[in-house]
Amino acid sequence: MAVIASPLELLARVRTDAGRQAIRARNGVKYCAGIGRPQVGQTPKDVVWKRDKVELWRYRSDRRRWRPAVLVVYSLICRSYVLDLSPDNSFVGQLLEAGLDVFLIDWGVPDERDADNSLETYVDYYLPQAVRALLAEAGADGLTLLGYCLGGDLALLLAARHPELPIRNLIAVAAPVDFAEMGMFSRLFSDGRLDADALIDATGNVPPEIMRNAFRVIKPTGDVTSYVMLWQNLWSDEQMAAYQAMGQWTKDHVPFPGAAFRQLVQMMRDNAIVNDMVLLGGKPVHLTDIRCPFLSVLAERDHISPMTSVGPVVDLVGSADVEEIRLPAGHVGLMASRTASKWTIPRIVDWIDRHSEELS
Amino acid sequence: MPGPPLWRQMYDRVEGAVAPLLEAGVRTGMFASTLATVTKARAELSRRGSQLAGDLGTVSTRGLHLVNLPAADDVTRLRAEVRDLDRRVRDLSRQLDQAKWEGQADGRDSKSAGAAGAGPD
Repeated sequence: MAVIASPLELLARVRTDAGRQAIRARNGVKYCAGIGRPQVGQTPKDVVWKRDKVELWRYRSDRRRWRPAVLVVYSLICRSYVLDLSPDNSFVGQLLEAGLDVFLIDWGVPDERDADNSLETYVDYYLPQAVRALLAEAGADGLTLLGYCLGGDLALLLAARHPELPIRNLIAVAAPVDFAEMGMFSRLFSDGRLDADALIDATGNVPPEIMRNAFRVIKPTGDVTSYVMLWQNLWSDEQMAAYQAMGQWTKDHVPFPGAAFRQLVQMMRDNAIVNDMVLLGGKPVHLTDIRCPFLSVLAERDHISPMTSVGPVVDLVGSADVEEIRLPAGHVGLMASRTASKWTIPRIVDWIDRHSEELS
Repeated sequence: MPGPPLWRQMYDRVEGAVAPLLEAGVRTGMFASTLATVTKARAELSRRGSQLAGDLGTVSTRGLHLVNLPAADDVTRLRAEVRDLDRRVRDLSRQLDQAKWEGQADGRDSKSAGAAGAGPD
C-alpha cells in the first residue's frame, strides 16, 4: 500500500524544493556571469626564494613536528594551486596538519622569455637552487622530495642527476615513465605522427589551449559530465564552490616552454626513461643512481598517466627501500578530492612519517 | 546519505557505456593520424595568415612611419631585443648563482679539510 504524505510533509517538501530552485537560479546566474568565484591557493605562505618567474614557497605553520622538510614539485603544464584548492580540499593543508614543513616550487606563467627553458634549466638550475634555498631557510641538512605528474619526472631526474643534493626521501605521484603507454600522446609523438614544432607558436611556447584541448580529447565525455555535475550541484553553495574551484583549475593551463617541450617529445620518441637513454647536459642520467627510500603513488583510473605508464618506475630506481601505493582514483582526484583527503594523502603522510624524525 | 537523483543515475549508466568506447577510439592510430593532419593544417594556415598579415603590415607600416608612429614590426623587433637581453641577463644570473654556490661549497670543503687535518700537537 502506497504511503501518502501528510499535507504538512508535502508542504515542507514543496518549500524545500522551492528553496533549492531559488538557489539554483541564483547560482546559475552567478556562474554564467562569472561572479562569486571562490578564492584558491589561500593557505598562508611566504616566498623564500625567487628566480625569473619561479618561486619557492614555504607554507606557514606553528605545528611543525617532523623533519626533513618536504619540497613539492608540480608539473610544468598546469597551475600548482590544485594542491591547495580550498581549506577542505588541500593537499598542502593536510601535510601541514600532519606536522610537516612544506615547501612548494611554483613555476609561474611562462611567456616568450621562458621559451628557451630546457629540461636542464629546471633540473640543473631552478631545482638545485631551490633545494639550496630550502635547506638554508629550514636550517636543514636534507629534504623529502615529492613530485606530481610531470613534476614527478623532474623529481626523478633531479635525484638521479644530482646525488650531491641531500634528498633523503623521494616520492613520485602519477609520474609517467613508460611513454609508450600514454595512449593518444604516444600515438601522436612516440609514433612520429606529429613534430613538437607543429604545436609551438610564435612566442616559442606551446599555447595553453593546446594542452587544454589535448586533455579534453582524451576524455571525450568530460565536458558533458562536467555540465551534468554543474546542474546537479547548482542547489548547493558548498558544492558549487568546490565545482567552480576545480573548474577554474581545469581551464587554467599555462604555456609550456618550447625547448623543454621539444626535449620531452624526443624523450617520448626514444621512450628514454624506460630505455635508460635520458641525456641531460649531454650526460646520461640513470634512475638506478637513485638510492634513497622511494614511494610511487599511482591512480587506477588515471587517463593522463595510465597505470601502465607509471607502474614501471619501481623497477627502474636503484633504491633498496621501495614502496608502491595504488589507489582507486583519477589523475587529479588522486591529490584533490574526497578520495585524496581520505586515502591518498594519509598514506603519503604515513610513509613520510616512517621516513622522518620527530623534532626534539 | 541519499544517492544521486534518478536522472543522474541514468546519465551515469549511458556515460559508463559510451565513454570507454570513445576513449578507446581516441587511443587508435587512425585517430592520431587524423588529429596530426588537422593540427599540421592549422599550423600551416596560421603561418600563411601571419605571412599575409606581414605583407599587409608593410603598407600600414609605411603609413604609420610617415606620421612618426611605431608600427607592429617595430614593436615585434623591440620585443625580440628585450627577449634577447632578458636571456643574457638570465644566463649571467645563473652563472653567478653557480659560481656563488661552488665558492660556498669550496669554502665548506676547505673548512672540513682544515678541521680534519687539525689535531693535537
